[in-house]
Amino acid sequence: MARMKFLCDAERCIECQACVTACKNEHEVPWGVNRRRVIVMNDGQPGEKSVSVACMHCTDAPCAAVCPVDCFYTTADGIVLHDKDLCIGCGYCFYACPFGAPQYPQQTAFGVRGKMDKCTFCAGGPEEAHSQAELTKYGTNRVEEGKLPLCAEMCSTKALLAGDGDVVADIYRKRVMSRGGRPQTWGWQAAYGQEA
Amino acid sequence: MPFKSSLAATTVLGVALALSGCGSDVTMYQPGEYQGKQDASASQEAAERREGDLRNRAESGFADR
Repeated sequence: MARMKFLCDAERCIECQACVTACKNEHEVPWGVNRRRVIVMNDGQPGEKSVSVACMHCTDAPCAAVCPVDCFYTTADGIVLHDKDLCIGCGYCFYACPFGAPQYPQQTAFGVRGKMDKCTFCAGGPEEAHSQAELTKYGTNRVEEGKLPLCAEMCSTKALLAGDGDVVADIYRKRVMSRGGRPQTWGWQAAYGQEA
Repeated sequence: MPFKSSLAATTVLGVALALSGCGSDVTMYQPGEYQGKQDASASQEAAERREGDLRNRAESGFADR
């Protein structure tokens, strides 16, 4: 069974923010919520890297583990979704997520409490597929149409990969091979400050 | 006497109330289990149905030309 994953190739990401824009536009994401963000490391310095981050659809999702009303569920192909009708907006998932994926809508200067919003891997939610309710609460459902998330499909440098983890890993492995070694950003040197 | 009758009435009421909780229509909360609406797209069948399309799309869309 496929297991849906995102992978951002930091060697290719050029911080164009097209993924962020595509996501916001496709799902009509409210003000204050960015389901996807581009994080820049060593901004303005030589060796600057950027990486696009959203919900990583964790296998053992911490958001689901801490949710007091158990509104999170995982689809058979590994996409972590939540039921906004059940969400009480407590914010536990916001604290638990290491990627800052679940977010509150903030339409005023001081923010408002509301239902949590997060990346759906363009797979909608528990409402009927392609219904108005699903569109309003969760955005469009591309996965049900056999399409991958728009953020990844829009990526001009193909830095952002999405799909079955095996396929994504194969594509990335070939890239690393053609570059002649391990990814320069996340190798031993980056982690431990020395050549392996 | 009125005290005894009110005590008896309270006891009967309390027992009745306690027993009413033992009915079959009581919803038991299962911690860790998804409590929301069922999503037809989350099923095994739905995932198997779209698996091929998603695989083809990823292979053709992300692989370098």
